[in-house]
Amino acid sequence: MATALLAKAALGTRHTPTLLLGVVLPDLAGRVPVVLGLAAVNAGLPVPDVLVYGWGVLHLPFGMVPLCFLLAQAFANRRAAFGNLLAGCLLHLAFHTGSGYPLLFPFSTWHGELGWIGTEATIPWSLPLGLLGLGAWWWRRKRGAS
Amino acid sequence: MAWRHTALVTDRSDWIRDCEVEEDCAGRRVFLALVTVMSIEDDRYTVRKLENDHLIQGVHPELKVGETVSVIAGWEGELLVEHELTRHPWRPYKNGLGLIGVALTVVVLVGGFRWEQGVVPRG
Repeated sequence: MATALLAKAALGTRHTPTLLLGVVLPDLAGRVPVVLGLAAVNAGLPVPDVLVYGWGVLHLPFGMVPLCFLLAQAFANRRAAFGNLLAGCLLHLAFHTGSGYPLLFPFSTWHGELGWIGTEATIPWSLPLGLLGLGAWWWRRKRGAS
Repeated sequence: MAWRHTALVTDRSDWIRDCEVEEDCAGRRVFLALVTVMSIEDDRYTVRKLENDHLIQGVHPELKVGETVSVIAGWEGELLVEHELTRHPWRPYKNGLGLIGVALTVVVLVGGFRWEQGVVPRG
């Protein structure tokens, strides 16, 4: 969210909520169901594997594209919605480079990893970056340069 | 895609479990990232990866049950022996930030959009 606000502060504040939705979309669609499914399995419920792990594709680029396309159909400006949702998803993924996700799945199981910084190591930066992003976005919005 | 992704996850999980009952994996290593410590004994501890618990040999008196760690471990026969342990002291802070993130997401979803012949973002 912090990086999305910084991006909108730099590029103009139109469609900010859509970009923010795009940033959280991979976790909403591809992680939350997995966490809930695993909790159900660990509680002893007979949940089929595909209903636990299948959602994970929505956290990968080739799953994000159709997800954003489908979600964009609900918007009045579908093209702008699709662009902002997808940009948000890719921004989200950019901060997962330390986790080695199979970025080209289902065409390859190669795990992309820049290895510059671990996801956990970014945690101390989150809150200051969030406040900086909010401040920058607010300043740009007040200037009316959207 | 969902089924293939499920197979990708479960195949790796099955491989680790198979290694725990066979000796074919001796010399190979496995990276258990962001796993939860489930129990601690004198010279070994158990971590939960997805829905499976794995027993790892390693002594860490400061380790706590419920803590999130990342472990690189290698097979010695059927035994998984720790090579490198990374603790994540910022984890509770991250969980707190996660809750803030959930609240912000609700704010964005409720206050950031309106309906006008389709969803229209405010601002």
